[in-house]
This record gives sequence, structure tokens and C-alpha cells, in this order.
Amino acid sequence: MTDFHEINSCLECERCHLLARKVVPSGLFNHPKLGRMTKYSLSRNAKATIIEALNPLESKLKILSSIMNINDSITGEAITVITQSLKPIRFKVVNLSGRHKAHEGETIKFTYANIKYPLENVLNAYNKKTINS
Amino acid sequence: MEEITLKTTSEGFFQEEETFSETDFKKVNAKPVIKIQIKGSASRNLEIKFKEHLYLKGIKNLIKKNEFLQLYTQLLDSQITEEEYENELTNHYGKYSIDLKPVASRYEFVLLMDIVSKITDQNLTADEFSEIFGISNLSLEGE
Repeated sequence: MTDFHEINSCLECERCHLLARKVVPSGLFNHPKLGRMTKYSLSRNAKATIIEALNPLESKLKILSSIMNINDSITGEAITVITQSLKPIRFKVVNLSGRHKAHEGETIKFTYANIKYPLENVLNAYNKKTINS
Repeated sequence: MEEITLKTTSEGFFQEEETFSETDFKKVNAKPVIKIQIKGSASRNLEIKFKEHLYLKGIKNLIKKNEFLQLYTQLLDSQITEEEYENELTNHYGKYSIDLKPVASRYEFVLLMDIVSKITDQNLTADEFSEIFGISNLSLEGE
């Protein structure tokens, strides 16, 4: 149940739950390792949570720092999601807060998600750290 | 015929020399031909060819992305069903998909940086860069 916010943190899983206020499909890609895949860019308080972990629990992309445990999640201002299925993800409109609505969906095949732009407070803290050090 | 010759100077820069003969031009008046001869360095010729290849690659990828987004908007507007969308993608996959490959050499990367600096004043993000030029994102490489 850990939520990761750091820059460049990424997750790999079999099924993933997605939540964001803005969802835009980026295109179809043919990756040398993953094959056919669809890319989505989620922005404005985006969150990706692992529902089903990989079996066996090994990184397909051989990334040492990738998050793979069930119920772990990444949160950021913008997240890039890549999934192997050609089927479009069905996004539902749900209430995120009293004022804002969000889009919610699930992937059904292997998914890779990466924080493209972290939350504003994380970025500020990171900048402060680099200035002081 | 118009001839443009490029010669390298002692400082290493390219200098243009133009020669023009009327008699040659009359012969091919219907189809004026511009002949470009590049002397001095073969690498200059290679650079032009390489850049042309990269420009074409970028335009083709943008067309592919446009085609995909058009199809997706058709699905969102429920002009086509989900089955039709899937069938279209599986049958004509090459029309919509962008091939991703790692950067072949340092030389290619330098040329890409040169092209990107001319495209926009704002810097492109890593995602936009990989989408346009069909380069697999470094974070996806993992090694």
C-alpha cells in the first residue's frame, strides 16, 4: 500500500487501475521488446495502482527500480501509461472531490507506467534540496 | 545549367561558388535542372541525405499518429463500434503504428538535436521526441 511520488519512478504489472482528471491517447507503437502497444498520457493528479502483479515477479524491461508489488501505486502531475492491448480502455467519469470529476479505468494486459511530471510540492522540495546541497 | 559548388576553406567552413552558362540552360529550357556538386568533404553530402531521411521519418510518424487519433475520435463519437475499431487496428496495423528503435549512433543523435532546435522555440519533451522520430524512450530501455 505504498504510494510513490519520486521523479522517474515507474511500475510494471499485469493489470492496473488508472485515475486522472485528463486522459489523452498518444498513439500506437511497435516496441522492439514489448511488441504492439498503446500509449496514454494521464495528467492533472494522475494515479496508477497495481491490481494484479506480474507472474513471475520479474521486471520484463529489466528495470531494477520498477515497482511490482500489488496495491502499490504511483502519483504525479502527469503519468505516461503503456499497455500491450489494442483494446481501448473504457474510462468512466467519477467524482474525485467535491469540485472536480475524474476519469477512471483499468488495463487488462501488461502495463508500464512512468511519472512524467511529479507533483508540484515534490518538485519544489527537490529543487530546494539541490540548491541547499 | 546552374552549378553550385561548395568548397571547404582553410578555416573549415563551406564556401559557395556559382557558375552559370546560358548555352547549357537553353538546351534544357523545358526542364531547368539545378545540379549541385559538393566538393571538399563527403561527410557534408552524407549529412544532407541523413537529415532528409530523418525529416521524412518524422513526417511519416506524425501522419500515422494523426490517422490513429482520427480513428479514436470516431470511436469516441460512436461512429464506429469497438469491434470495428479493433479489426481496423489489427488488419491495418502498419498504417497506425510507429516503430520504435534505439538511437543508432552518436552522429544520428547530434543531427536529431540540430533538427529539434529548429522545430520549436520551446523544448520538446522526451515523449514528444520519441513519438516524432520513432526513438524508444531511454526509460523504457532499462539497460
